[in-house]
Formats: sequence, structure tokens, C-alpha cells
Amino acid sequence: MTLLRVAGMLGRGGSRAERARARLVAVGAALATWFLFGAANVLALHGQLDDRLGPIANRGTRPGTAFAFGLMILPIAAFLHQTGRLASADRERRLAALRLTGATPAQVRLLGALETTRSAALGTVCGAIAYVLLEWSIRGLLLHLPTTAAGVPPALGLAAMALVIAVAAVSGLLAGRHVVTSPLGVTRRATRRRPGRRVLLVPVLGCVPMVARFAGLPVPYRPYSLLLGAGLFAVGMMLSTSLLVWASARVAGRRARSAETLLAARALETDARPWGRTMSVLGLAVAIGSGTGWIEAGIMDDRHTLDPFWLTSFTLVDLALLVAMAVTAAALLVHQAEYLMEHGPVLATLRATGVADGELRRVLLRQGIIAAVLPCSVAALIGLLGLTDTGGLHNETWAWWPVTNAVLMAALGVLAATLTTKASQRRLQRAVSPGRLRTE
Amino acid sequence: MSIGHVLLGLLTERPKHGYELKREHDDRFPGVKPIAYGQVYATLQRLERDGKVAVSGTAKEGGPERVVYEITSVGTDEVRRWLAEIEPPAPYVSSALSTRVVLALIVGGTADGYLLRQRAAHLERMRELTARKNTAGISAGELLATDYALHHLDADLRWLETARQRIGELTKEIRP
Amino acid sequence: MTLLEARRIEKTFGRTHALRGVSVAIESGEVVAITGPSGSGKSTLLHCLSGIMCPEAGEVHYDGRRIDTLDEAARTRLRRDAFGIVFQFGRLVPELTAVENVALPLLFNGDGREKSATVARDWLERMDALDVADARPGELSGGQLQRVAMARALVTGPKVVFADEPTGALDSLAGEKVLGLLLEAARVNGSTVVLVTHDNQVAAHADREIVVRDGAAAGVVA
Repeated sequence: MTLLRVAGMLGRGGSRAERARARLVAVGAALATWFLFGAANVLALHGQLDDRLGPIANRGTRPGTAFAFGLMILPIAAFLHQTGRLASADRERRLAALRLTGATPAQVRLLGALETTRSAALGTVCGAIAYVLLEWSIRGLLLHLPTTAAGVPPALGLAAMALVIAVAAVSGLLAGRHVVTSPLGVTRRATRRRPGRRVLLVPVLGCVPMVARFAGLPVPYRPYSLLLGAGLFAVGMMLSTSLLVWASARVAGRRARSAETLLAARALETDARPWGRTMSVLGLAVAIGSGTGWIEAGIMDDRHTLDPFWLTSFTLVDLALLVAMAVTAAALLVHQAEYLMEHGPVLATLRATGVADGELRRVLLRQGIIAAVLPCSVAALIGLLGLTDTGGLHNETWAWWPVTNAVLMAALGVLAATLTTKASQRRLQRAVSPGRLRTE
Repeated sequence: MSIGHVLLGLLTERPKHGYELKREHDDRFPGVKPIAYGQVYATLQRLERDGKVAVSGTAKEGGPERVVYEITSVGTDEVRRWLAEIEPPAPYVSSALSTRVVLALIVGGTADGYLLRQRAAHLERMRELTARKNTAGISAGELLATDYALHHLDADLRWLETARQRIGELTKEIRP
Repeated sequence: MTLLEARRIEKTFGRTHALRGVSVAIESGEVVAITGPSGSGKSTLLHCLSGIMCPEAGEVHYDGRRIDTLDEAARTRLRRDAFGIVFQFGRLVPELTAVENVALPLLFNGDGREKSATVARDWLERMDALDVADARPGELSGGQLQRVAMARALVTGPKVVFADEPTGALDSLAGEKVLGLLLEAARVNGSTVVLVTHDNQVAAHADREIVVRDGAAAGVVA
């Protein structure tokens, strides 16, 4: 097929940033495959195992564990989507040249998606092979178990791989949505609208059953209606994060007393969606983290000690949250790279006119703070609200545990967002070098 | 372009006498040489002979009595036809500038010094004209004429720069 | 009095010799045009004179002080306090309105938001761009962009204004208007102006021309 051949040719001619994007997409796809294989692996286990394996040991907790593994897809999806957008300006310019040679807009968009899909497919296959090899060696060499027995069931594994590639393809198509490549060049971001407000209705709707219950009104179909409400609330809050980021950026922009805050806030306000996407995942991690604080407090209060099962479970949850946060932070890093690439000439000009490097770094840092503080705080509070039953504790001082946990999680979320800006410093240096004054 | 066409054009507004035509010509075309009254008179005679203008009366405003001319339909047709044409885009090759470049190469073996001096002189003239454009109360007609001069000097300067870049080829041609 | 001087400066980019021993001296209060064909090194000369880059050999002096040996922080300070710089495409921050863009240097200097905005509006008015004060760069024409960029360069009252092809993206009438406003404002401010241009008609606005050819000053023509 000619389109595929053209995609191949274009892939070889990509810029440094584009090759970086291809690699990042592959890494993201590999990670996603790992977690999905992990979920499939847990589901495939039989019988009762050693308690030290935590939630994997019990037959009853395995579906939940698999679901948790599946949830890890969310930060990776955010990461994938962000990398798909990376270097889009570069790619768009190249694709505009294609339009000049007579390609239709649909073909151009398809080409963009094909590039992303190819990288993702490569990552998925590599990830799958690596997982299977690792699992075999652990089984055979460390645990001395028969290597022929169930690892990842082939059907589930193939389905997982197909899912990852499909998600990457859809994300590739979506990334192309923001670009109108006319033969004469690229009109950037046809849709840098502000996030819609109607999305707020979803979490409000989700609150209805809970509020009704607290108000003592009859709630039909309990507990499903409550669960549905909670689910709606969680999803709705995640969808509303862009709006939250946008709102804090707007307030910060209006109130800004310094140039750094003004620049940071306005940049966020104009392009709140990428931050909103990643912050929604970061917020979910914070909410789950502060929510598990309650469960931990309840168990500690009840038994005064943690048995191996719970210890492993909580360690796994914390580990998972940390990984999720790290992946989300990586997505933010990618987004900041895009920001720097796009704003390179403008930032280089600011630097030429006497803005110090430190001040430009502060612009990046404040972007992170403005974007992260509100969503992380709200998420931590929601995590605490989830279980308001302080009456259930024998010793009420245990209530401080989830509160501390929530504060820590929120702080960790903000820290993750701001640390990424620290990591962007070298890239900033490159972006504002005097050489960038010449490019246009 | 001929004086006859210019006078016909000015007469399309209303009937005018010879002195009036001279004054309006000099006012409205500040970039060109002022016209001599004798030339206006001779041209009007010729136009009258060809039936393009006709005497419409006399006027006396404080001075001597003057003959007033009006344009005829033949004259109007003539000026319309002329406006529909274009000026032949004449390439002024071998102007004084290129003669000097070639001579400088033949006599001195290099034209660099001449090119820089000529550039300085041109730019100095352009500075004067630019300064004149920036004087308060300048008329739009004079602005247009100054722009014309500036653009031509600019073209000369660009040609001088190209000449500098081609000087190697030219030297080879002149001193093989 | 010589305000700004380059002495035999050299600069290379990879294998290209952008500057090969250029010497120029610029007097206080004058308007100087640096001209030359594309690739002659005139922009690099401007970058070296304004302390954006440091030459590999030679010296750059400003106001009796050698500036090419200063560290990045000191040169940044100098650019902020003493220089104003305008580039070809304006290069405004796309998310900020015109008035916010102009106020930016003042905000970086620690002036308050209201005070900065007032001064910025004043400068937009002087640049004949007050009508677009609340528009974003994406909504402005090339001439308007350049007028806002000039207001941003002049708002701090710089001693020297550097302009790199300030009218390069404009047609001749719009360019003339913008240039006239810049030079008039600089004259009122008492600023020295260094114009880099390949356009002779722009150069004719200057008091003096410095011709750069192949990285060297070919003739300093008064």
C-alpha cells in the first residue's frame, strides 16, 4: 500500500525530535503491554499462594488486583497521548509539504496516525517478548516452577496487545485533529478552546445518590446506585480537571504580580488541556493514595499490627501509585518539551532582551505549581471524603494517619509536577540559545 | 508621454488659460522639470490646429487678458486612448554607472573603491530625500515624486551590489 | 563620544566564519545602519554588539566598559537595563495581550501590575497602536506586531535600541511608518539606534552606514 510506503519513507526522514517521539511512544506502549500482561497473569493464577504475595495470593482479591494493574494504563495512556503530540509542529510542517504535493487532508491525518501506530506496535511487541522472557526466567530459574504452566494466556495476551495498538492509533488520529494542514502551511491548533463547562454536570450527577443518602432520602437499587454515583463522580472529576487547571490559571493570571507568574498562567490558560489530562491522572493517584490511608488506618486501629498479606498489599498499592505518578510526571515532561519547542524563538527573544535564565526557569516552575496545586488538593480531599466514618475507629488518633497521608500525597503530586520542570532545565537552555533567534 | 497629453489631461477638469496650465503642471508634477511658458503656448497652438482643443473665451484676472482653452471631444478621445496605453518599459542599459565600472576595471584593475564611493554618494542622496519626506507639511504629490526618486536610487544601489558580486566574471572577460 | 565599539571581533559557527575581524565604533545618540548582503554577518555583529553572543576574539566595549568578558548574568543585566531589542517578526509572547507584552520588561523589573500597564499603554499610544492594546499577537497585522514589539523594546527607556531587520516582513509603506515611529521615539528618548538591514531605503533613514561584507566592515561610510 502506497500510504504505508510513504509513512516508511517519512519515518526515516524525521527530525531528532520526531525520532525521540517515536522512541517515547514505543516505550509507553511497552509499559502498557507490561501492565496488561501483569493483569492477565494475575487472572490466570490458580489456587491459594503464599500470603507474602499479598493480594495475588488470595483467589478473592485477584480480580481487584488485575483491575488495579489495568488502571495503571491510565497514566500510560496520558503519557502516550502527550508523546503523540510531541514534535507535532515539526511533523505538521512536513505533512504540509505533502499537501502541496497533492495528498488529501484525510490521507495526511492518516499518515500521522500511522506513524504513531507503527511506533506503538513496535513497542508492544518488544514489551510482550520482554515480559514473557522475564516471566519464564523467573519461573524457571528463581522459583524452579515448570515453565510450561500458565503465564499469560495467549488469547488474553494478544487481546491486550491489540488494545494497546488500537489506543495508540486512536490517539494518533486525535492528535491530528488539532491541525489543519493546508498546502501553504500549518494553521496551529484549530481548537485551543477553553475546556467546556458542561462537563461539570457529570460529577454533580454522581453526587446525587450520596447526597440523597446523607439527607436521609430513599435511594433505590442500593448499593449499585451508590457505586454508579461514585464511579460517575470519579470519572467526572477526571474529565473536569482541565477546567480546574484552566480556572486556576485564569485566576493566577489576573492576580499575577510578577512577569513569571503572568507568563506561566497565560500559557496554561491558553493550553490547559494537556496539563488537565495529565493532572487528572495525577489527581486519581493522589485520591487513591489518600483513600488507602483510611483503609490502612482502619486495619491498624483494628489489629494494631500488619500481617504479611496487608503489608504486601499496601506496599504494592504505594508502589503502583509511585509508578503512576512517575509516568504522569514523564508525560508532563514531554508536554513541557513541546512547550519549549513551540515557544523557543519567543523565549530566546525574551532572553535576548534581558530576561535571566533563572526567571525563565521560574516560568516553567510556576506553570507546574499553578496547574498542580488545585487538582491535587481537590483530589486529596476527595480521597478523604470517600470514607467519612470516623466513628468506626476505636482510637481516634488514627484519623490523623489518612489526613497526613492525604497531605503527603497532595504534596507529592505537586512535587512531581514541579520536579518535571527542574528536569526541563537543560532543554530550556537549548531552546533559548541565541541560535534560535535566527529560525523562523 | 508628451506635453500635449499632459495639457489635454489638465484641461479635462475645466477650461484653462496657458499660464494656469503651466502653474498646474509645475505644482502637480514636482518630480519633473518645470515647463517653459513658450512650450505651453506652442503646444496649445498645435492642439488647436489638430482640433483637440478650442478657444472658449478670454479671462482677465488683474493681469493681461488671457486666452482660455477648452478640450474638444477629439481631445478627450485622444487623452483616453493615451491613458489606456502603457509606457514602454525601457531598460536603461549601459548607463553612466556601468560605463564607470567597466572603465574602472580597464584602467585600475579594480572597481571596489568606485563601487563603495558610488554607494556612499547614492545613500547620501537617499538620506537627503528621506529627510525631505519627513519634513512637516510636505504635499502628497511631492511625496510621490520623492518616492519615485528613492526607488530608482535604491534600484541603482542593488545593481551596484550585484555588480560587486559579478565583478570576478567581468574582470575575466575584460582581462582574459 | 563613542558609546559602543567592536574591535577586530571574530565569530565562527562550525565552519562558517561569520565575522572576521570587524571593527566598528558607534557614537552616542546617532542612528547607524549596518547593511550588507544576506549571510554577510550583520546579524551576528548585532548579536555581539548587544551582548547576546560573545565573540571568540576581539573586544566589545559599551560606555567605557568591556562587555564581552562579562558573564551571562552581567550581560543579561546590561541588556535589560541599557538595551532594547527588536527582531524581524516581533516575537511577542502569543498568549499575552499587546499591553501585557509591552509591560513584560517592567514586570520583570519588579514594577507593579497597574503601573506597568499604564506605562505600557502610554508607549502603545506613542507607537500608534493603542487601538490593539487588548488584542493578542495572533490577531495583529505585521505592522501592528512590529509597533507593539517596538513599544516593548522602548518601554524601559534604553540607551541603545538594536533593531534586526525591523521592517523585513512589512511592505515599504508600512515599514516606513513603523521605522519613522521608532526613530522619532528614539530621538525623543535620546537613544542610540543600531539598525541591521539589507534594505537601502531603511538604511537611508540612518545618519551613517556601516557596510558588512563577508564578515568584515567593507567601508564605514559617513
